[in-house]
Amino acid sequence: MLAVVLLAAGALLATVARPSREVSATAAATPSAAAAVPLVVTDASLLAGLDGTVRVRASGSGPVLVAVGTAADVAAWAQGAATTTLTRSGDDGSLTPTTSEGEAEVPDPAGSDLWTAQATGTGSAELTTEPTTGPGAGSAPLSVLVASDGTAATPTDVELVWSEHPVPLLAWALLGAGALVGLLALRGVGGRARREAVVVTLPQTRPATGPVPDLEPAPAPATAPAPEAPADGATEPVLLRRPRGSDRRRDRRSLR
Amino acid sequence: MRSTTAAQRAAALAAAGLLIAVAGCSTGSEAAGPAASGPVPAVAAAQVSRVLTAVDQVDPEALDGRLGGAELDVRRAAQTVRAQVATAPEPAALAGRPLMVAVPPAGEWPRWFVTALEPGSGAVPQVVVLEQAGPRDPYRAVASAAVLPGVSLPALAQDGATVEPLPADATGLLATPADALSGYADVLTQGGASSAAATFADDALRDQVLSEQQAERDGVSEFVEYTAAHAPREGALWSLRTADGGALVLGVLSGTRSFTPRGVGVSQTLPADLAALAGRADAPDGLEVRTAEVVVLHVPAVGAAERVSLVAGARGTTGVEVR
Repeated sequence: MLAVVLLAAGALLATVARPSREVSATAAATPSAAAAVPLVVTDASLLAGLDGTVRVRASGSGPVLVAVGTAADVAAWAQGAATTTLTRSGDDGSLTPTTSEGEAEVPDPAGSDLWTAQATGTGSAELTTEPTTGPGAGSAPLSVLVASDGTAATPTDVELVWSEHPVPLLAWALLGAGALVGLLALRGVGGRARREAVVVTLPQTRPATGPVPDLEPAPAPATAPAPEAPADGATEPVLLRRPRGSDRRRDRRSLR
Repeated sequence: MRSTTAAQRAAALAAAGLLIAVAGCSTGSEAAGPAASGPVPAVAAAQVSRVLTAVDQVDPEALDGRLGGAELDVRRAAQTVRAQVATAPEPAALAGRPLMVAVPPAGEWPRWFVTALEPGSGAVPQVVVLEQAGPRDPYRAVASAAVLPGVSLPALAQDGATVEPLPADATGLLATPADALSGYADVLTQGGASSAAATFADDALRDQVLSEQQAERDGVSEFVEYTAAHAPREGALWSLRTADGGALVLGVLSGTRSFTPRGVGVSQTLPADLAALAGRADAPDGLEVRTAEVVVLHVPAVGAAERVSLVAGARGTTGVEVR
């Protein structure tokens, strides 16, 4: 009987009642300050390796962009640019920055059609995202891109905060205890929530200036004009003009 | 004691089962990734609606921000005309409720997707092709065509959240997409004399273009050499598999109508819209009028009883060159 209770408790804790813990990552490493680096991206597998929503916060001076797109699209946008890539090292939540060489200046990535979401701000920006595009068909892992305006150096601090739902030790212990069918009654060790912080500090090589252009302004078209489809005989031919009869008369006159 | 042993055995089995189940759960959470089936679409729904809003709200002073290809050529020309001829018609708005959004899988650039927009208030739905030249470029509307009256767009073959793009030389169709487009161009050029004429069902665009070309020819042929020709525009062919095994082929044709005086002393006066584009009102040595025809064709699968048919079409002047 005790075994059944232990097993049930362990199973519950391991499934529906699985507790969550919040992990926040910030890396202290500072990449080489020799070259201007306009972009910071997360490694293609970083978010996908996480469980649950991820809060990304970047801060620096001037305009700050935090954008999210599929890992492949973020990589495609960043291709050729000097980029700091954040990789998660080990299970302790730390992030390791690696800087690649490339263009020191890129177009402003804000407002790109590749981003599934973006947040902009002055001094800091924050965005919450799922690790993948969604549970439906065609789901893809997402990456984060952090920048200023493409020409200024990247924001100096990037912080990732996410929740994890590990199977707690207690669940394993309860299940193990149940399996012993009452021969031993062990206390499970509670899965304690832990909070880790890793801050990536990046070099501020250049003053960040200039506004963050948003998507195009919105001059609304006033009217819905008649379609130019060759819909029916009644529709006037659009933009196709035959020389007028008068033209022909003029031709004749000119010939005389 | 016997019953106790049985209970123990049952409990051990249950424990083993639960351990396996839990292990399965935990690995699932760690290997999150592209687990769901189906290709990744080039753009998600939220991106599509953002792109369409940006196209709708494009700055008239910077059309190339969100328009490209034939769409940009036609609308720039229309802008030039309207600046001088207030009564000139305005191109249809690229706005409204999306009746259909067809997104191919994410792949190499150029990427593209197709939508059909219902502008409302009785206006004709527009089929629009949006293309992204490279990852850092915006999606631009590069072609649009009005759905013909009484015609419904064929259902597209879906694979999860994506549709299936076809290469220009796709087989298994009544004609490859490239051949369908060049065949239609030949029909617009030669009319019933084209060897491709029988491949295509009759349609309003073809009738209108051919009858107007004939009228132009008749009107000027006494003094002016007249030619009209249509050919596929480079890089403007997009094809999707339809649910019936055929293809929806979207393409742009470049049309050129040429007026060349037969002798000295023949002068042609341009109508106001062409004069606005030409920058002058007469053409003593002849002229060429360039147009773009956007066609959306349904190409049936091989063995189908139907012919290739036009489901949407549009045309517009893109420029006038006075010699």
